[in-house]
Formats: sequence, structure tokens, C-alpha cells
Amino acid sequence: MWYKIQYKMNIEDLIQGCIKEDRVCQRELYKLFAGKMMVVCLRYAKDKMEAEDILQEGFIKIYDNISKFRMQGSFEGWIRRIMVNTAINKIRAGKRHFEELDDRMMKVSNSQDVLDNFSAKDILNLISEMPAGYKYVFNMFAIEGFSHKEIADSLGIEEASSRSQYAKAKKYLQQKLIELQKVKL
Amino acid sequence: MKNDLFEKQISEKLDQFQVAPSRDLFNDIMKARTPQVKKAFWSTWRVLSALLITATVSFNVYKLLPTQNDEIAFSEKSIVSDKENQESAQESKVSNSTSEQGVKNEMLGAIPKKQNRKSVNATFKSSPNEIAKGDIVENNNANTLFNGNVFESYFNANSKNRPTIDYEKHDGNSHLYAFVTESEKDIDKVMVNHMKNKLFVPFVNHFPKLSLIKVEQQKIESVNRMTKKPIYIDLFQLNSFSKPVISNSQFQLQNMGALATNSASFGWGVNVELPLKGRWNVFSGVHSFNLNNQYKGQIKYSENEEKITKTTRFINDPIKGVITVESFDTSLVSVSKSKNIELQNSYKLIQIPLGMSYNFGYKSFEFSLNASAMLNWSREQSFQSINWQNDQVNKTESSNILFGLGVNAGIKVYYPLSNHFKVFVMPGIQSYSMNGVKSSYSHNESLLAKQLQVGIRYSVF
Repeated sequence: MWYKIQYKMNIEDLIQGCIKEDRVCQRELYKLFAGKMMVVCLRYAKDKMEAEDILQEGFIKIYDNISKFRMQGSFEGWIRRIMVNTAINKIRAGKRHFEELDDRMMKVSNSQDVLDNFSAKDILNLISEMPAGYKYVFNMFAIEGFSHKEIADSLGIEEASSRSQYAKAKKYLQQKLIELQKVKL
Repeated sequence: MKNDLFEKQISEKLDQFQVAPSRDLFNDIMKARTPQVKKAFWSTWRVLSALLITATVSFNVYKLLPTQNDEIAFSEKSIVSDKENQESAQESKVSNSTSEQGVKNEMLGAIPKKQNRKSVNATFKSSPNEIAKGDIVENNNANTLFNGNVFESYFNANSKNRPTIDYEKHDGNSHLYAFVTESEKDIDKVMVNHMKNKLFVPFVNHFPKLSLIKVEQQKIESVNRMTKKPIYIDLFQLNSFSKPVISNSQFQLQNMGALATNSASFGWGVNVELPLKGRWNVFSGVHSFNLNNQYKGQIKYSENEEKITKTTRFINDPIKGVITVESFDTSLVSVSKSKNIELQNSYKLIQIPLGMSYNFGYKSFEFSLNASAMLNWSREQSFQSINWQNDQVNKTESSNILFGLGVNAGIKVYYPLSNHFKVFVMPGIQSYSMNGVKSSYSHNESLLAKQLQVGIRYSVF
């Protein structure tokens, strides 16, 4: 009988291994977080290719700076923060137009019940298809938990704009969810 | 509000959701990071290379540039303007002999203090190893004194251009000659010449920088201002292995089959050699040795001898029986005989060479190709000949003065010993004749001699 022996390293071991440029640890770390971080990147990127670019760049930063992680707080949060910052930097570098959208067209009903009918993939697709101006603010505020001030600083916009954009993004997403539900039905 | 149920639900759904990136993305990440690793790697090598180069350059600069304890300097207090140096200038008026002695003492290894440098005529500061390694000719004016071959400069003994030798240092195979000039104008002619006999080595790249400071006129005048040429005096023991050739075809010994043999002659010689131009030297001298020409052979001759023939007869007598009768006849017969002879002709020979030599060096050795005409002068000679009347060897002595001409060629190999001395050997050949006919001898002799000179050279400046 063959036994597959698997040694599961904890995060600290992985971090120490990555600090020592251990390729096995680097690969394990990648396996552990690449899927989740890919979702983060997809939320900000316009397409999968750009998401992978962000993911690659983010992991390079992680490997290069992993020794700076102080073993305090969530390591996943640290990684996620790097990915988000990388995505935002990408947005800035691309000088992507941050458009403020008008929400006059949006008639949002109660969408909370609607969410139960959608998978995470559907929601992700919806977020990805959101206009950039909504997408960044919504991601940063609703999912990453940034404050509007932080969002304003990161995106180089007014804090009020961040607030208004988030409200509009939320309405936009809810509307899309309702529309999508109608299609499904 | 973030705490709204809507955002919370979305966040929870997305938190548990994963999307697999492309399979090769990890490898792409690693590849993307590789240049940084390489960069670090190359940076390390660049640093190491820079350190190595810096160390090498520093080492060479250290070796080449004069330092406080490692420099050759012509320094005069009198050229320094401050008071202290003026005082030193007074000290510098000590006699040349004292200064030179001081220099020589320093050259022998004493490391002078910095202050002492100012008080001597020419201070030598150089570690022996430095000089041994250095092959430099340079001055502090950054003039390239020896763009050409330094040997050319050294051997160029043009009396007008050759500066006065201030001091010299000899350390093993390294020979350093420092010269001073009479005026600033002549600074280009200031020559610190180092001979290491590396004929094929580009010298300029190897010479340590030397500090040459202008020496005041008065001081220079106190130095021997004679333009000096090096003078080489060779004292040597001379070994000649000659085989004479009889020039007189009627010579009886030849007819009788006697052969000339190699014979050794020993003597001594003194040569004086002066630089002429470039690498050419001219030399002359006196060689004195006893030339011994030996002939050995077997002389065959006939001699009449008395031969007695005995005849025996028998007579048959009836009474007495057989009677034996013996008779003896005497006759003269010619008998062939041979005799080993060994003859020797000796000359007390004095040779006066007049020749030239071409000098060059290789590694630790110096070489010179020598060729000279020889004037041979014999004041005493003795000859041995056979008296054919009695087959005895007769010896004839003569004090007639004989002259002869010859040529000599050889290659002389020097090996420096010390300050002024070199040992040398010179294998060579000589060809010359002795006109014995003008003496009491019956023939002339010519010789092709292999010669070996072993001696010592003393260099005088």
C-alpha cells in the first residue's frame, strides 16, 4: 500500500521558508492564497488577464517583502492589502478614467433577498462588469473595508465623491441583480 | 453603510470563493523574480570585482608610487624655502663624500627618517624588494624620458647627454643609477636608470615613479661634474685550447707523420671596455699567456745493422766420425724503426685585442657579443726539433720579438654579483699565426684556438 505523506506547514513555517527563498514554501504560499487573491484581483481588473497581471505583481511584492511581515495580525489580510494596493496602483498607472455616474436611471427595489439566488461567481461577474467608478469604490468600501477617506486618498478623489459613488455603485449592483434574477426566472 | 446586510452578504460570498489563476502563473512569478535574484547576484559580483580591481590598483599604485619609506628622491634642503629647510640647507653643504657615504649607507638598507631626507644630497628610500621588482625610469615632471628602449638610453654614452651619476644602487640583479643634471633645462636628461636586463619587457610600465627634485646649481657643482661614462674593467683567467697548423709544408714533422695535438695554455688578461654608442662598447686590453703547441707522432726511419749469419756443416770422417764445422758471416742490413716523439713549441705571448662588443640582457644575465682584432707579440719562445743526425730532440730558445695578427670572437655572459662586480665567462675562438721563421725556428705556425675566459668585471663610473 502506498501512502501519500503530506506535511502541512503552518503559515509561520511558510513565511520563514519564503524569507529564505525556499521555492517549496513559495509554491505552497501561492497555492494557499492564489485562488482567493485572484478573486480580489478580478474584482478590480477589467478582465482576467489584467487580474493575473495584478496577481503576479502582487505575489512578487509579497515574496520580496515577506520579511517585513511582523507576524502580527492576519497574514491573509496583509496579502489582501498588498493585492488591493497593487490593483489600485495599476489603476493609477493606467490613468484609468474614474467616471462619476448618474444614478437617475436606477430604480432599486429590495435586493437583499435576491442575493441568495446568486452564486459568488455571479456576483463576481457583476462586480467585474460594473463601471470602473463604481467598482473600485464598492470593492474598497463594501468588501475590503476601507473608509471613504482612505478610498478618496487612494483614488485621488474627494471623500464625498467616494460616498456618492459607493451609493450609486450599490444601487447599480442591486439593480443588476434584480435584472439578472428576472432573466433567470 | 458597510454593515448593511447587502454588503455583508456579498463579502461573505466572495470571501469563500476562489478562482484558479493560470497554471503557469507561479512559474511566471518566479521568472519575474529571477532578474532580481540575478541582479543581486551580479551586484555582488560587481562589488567583488570592484573591490578586487581597487585592491589591485591600490597595490600597484603602492608598489609603483613612492611613499614615505619607499621612494627615491633627490632632495635638497636648499630648494625649500622655509626656515627649517634653510637650516637643512646648511647641513647639505657637507662634503660630497659624506653625502655619498650617507646615501650608500641608506642604500645598504638603512631606512632614513623623513627629516633626514632633506639633509642629504640624494636620499635613497626604497626597499630592496621594490627595487628588485621595479624597472622604472620616470621623473616627477611626468616627462617620458624613456619612450624608447631604456637600454638604449642606458647604453647611450654620448658624453654630452649622459648626466652625472649621483649615486647608484645595486640589489641583486637590479641596478639603479641615479643621475643629476646641471640645470633645470636638462631635467629631461635626468635619468634614473634601472637595468634589470629585461630586454624584451616594456620597461615604462614597470618602473616605479621616482621623485626627482631639482638640485641647486651650487650643489651640483660640488658633485663631480665630469660627464662620466661607465668604465668596465675585466680581469680574467684565460684558458686556451689550441691545435697548431704547420704552415711550412716542408716541415719534417709532417713528412714524418707527426701530428699536432690539442694543447692547453693558461694565462690571464685585463680588458678595459668603454661604452661607445647605443649598445656598442669598445674594448682593449692585455692578455698574457704561455702558448704551448704540442706535436705528437711516431717517426719511422731505417737503420743499418750488422747481421751475423751462422752456417753449420758436417764432415763424415771414417776415423773420427762426423765432424761439425761452424762458420760465421757478417753483413750490414737496413732495418725499419719507429720512434714516438713529443715536441713542444712555446711562446710567451702577449695579445692586445682591439674590438667591439654588442650588449644586451636577458633575465638576470647580461650578454655581449665580442669581436676583436688581436695583435700578438711574443718576446720569448722555445722550439723543439729533431736532430736527424742522432734522432735526438733539440730545444732552441729565442728571445726574438715576434708579431702576429689574429682575430677573436666570443660571447660573454655576465652575472651581476654585487654593487660593481659581475662574474663572466666567455667562450670563444681565436685564430692567429706565429711567424717562427723569423725566430730560430724553421717554420711558421697558425692556430685555431678555443678559448675560455673566466673572470670578473668591475664597473667604474
